[in-house]
Amino acid sequence: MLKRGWLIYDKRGEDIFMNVIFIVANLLFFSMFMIFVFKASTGAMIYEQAYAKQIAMLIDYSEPKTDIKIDFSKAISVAKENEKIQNLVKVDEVNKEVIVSLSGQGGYGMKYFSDYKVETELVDNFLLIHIKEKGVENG
Amino acid sequence: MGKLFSDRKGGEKIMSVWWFAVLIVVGTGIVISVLIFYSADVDVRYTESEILYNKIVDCVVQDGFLIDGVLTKEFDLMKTCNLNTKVINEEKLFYIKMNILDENGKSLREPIIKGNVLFLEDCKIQEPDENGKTTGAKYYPKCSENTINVNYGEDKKGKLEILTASNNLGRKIGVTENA
Repeated sequence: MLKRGWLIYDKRGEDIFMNVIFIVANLLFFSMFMIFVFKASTGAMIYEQAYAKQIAMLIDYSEPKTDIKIDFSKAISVAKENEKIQNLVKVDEVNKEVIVSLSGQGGYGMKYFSDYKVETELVDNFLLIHIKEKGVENG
Repeated sequence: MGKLFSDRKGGEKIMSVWWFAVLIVVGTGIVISVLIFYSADVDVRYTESEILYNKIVDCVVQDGFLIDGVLTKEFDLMKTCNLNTKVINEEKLFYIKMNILDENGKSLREPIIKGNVLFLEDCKIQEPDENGKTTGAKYYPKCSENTINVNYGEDKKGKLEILTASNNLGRKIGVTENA
C-alpha cells in the first residue's frame, strides 16, 4: 500500500526523490548561513582589533618601568580554534605598531606614539606587557 | 523546466526559480548585514588624542610649574615626553600644538607644532558654531583642546594651551605581511 505523505508517495514514486533533494538543499543553504553568522560573530577579526587597540592605548597611557597584566583568555581560545599557538602578539618596535594575530589569516595592527621599549610575554591566560625606557634593557 | 521545477500543467512545484530567488535575496541580506556589523571599526581616536594631551601635560608641568627649559628654543618636546618622531612627524597620524602664554595672553615662546599640520583646520571645522552645531566627516581626526593655568620661573602665572589630534585608525594586516 502506498501512502500519500511527506516522503513516502506516490503513484509513480517520483516525488520522494524530489522531496529529498528539496529538503537537503534547504538544510544545506540554511546551515551555510548559520555557520557563516557563527564564524563571523566569534571570529578572530573582532578580537584582533579590540586587543590591538587596547594594548596600543595601554602602552601610550603608561609611564616607563610599568608592567601590565591583561586577561588574554578569550584571545587564546579564539587562537586555539584557529589552530594558531604562537606569535599571537607582536610589538614592532621599529614601526611602533602592536600586531595581534589570532588566526593564520594576517592580523590587526595599531600604531602607538610613545617611544618606549616594549616587551610582551604570554603567561598562562595572561598577557604581560613590560614597558621600559628606550635604551634601558633591565629597567 | 524539469519535473523538479514544474508539473505537467505548468504549475510550480516545490523547487521553483522563485524559491531560489528568495533564498539568494535573504542570504545576500544576511551576509551583507553580518559583514557590515562585524567589520565596523572600534573608534578610539578621541581617547588617543586625550591620552596624548594628558601625556604632554604630565610631562611639561610638574607641581603646577613648567619644567625647566620649556621656554627655551632648544626644548625638544618629543624627546622629553618620550614621543616617537616617526609615528607623529613622518606617518602623520597625530598632531600636537602647544602654546605657552603669560597672564596677559602674550606668547612666551614660539608654539611647538608637531605631526600633521592639516589636522589643525580639520579640528577647527569640527568645533561647534554659535548654534552648537558641529560639522565633520567620518575620517576627520578627533581632537582634544584645553588650556590650563601654570606657573613658571619664580611664581609667574601663565597659561598652557594644548591641542592634540589623532587619526590613528589601525589597519588589517594581510597574510603575507604577517608571515
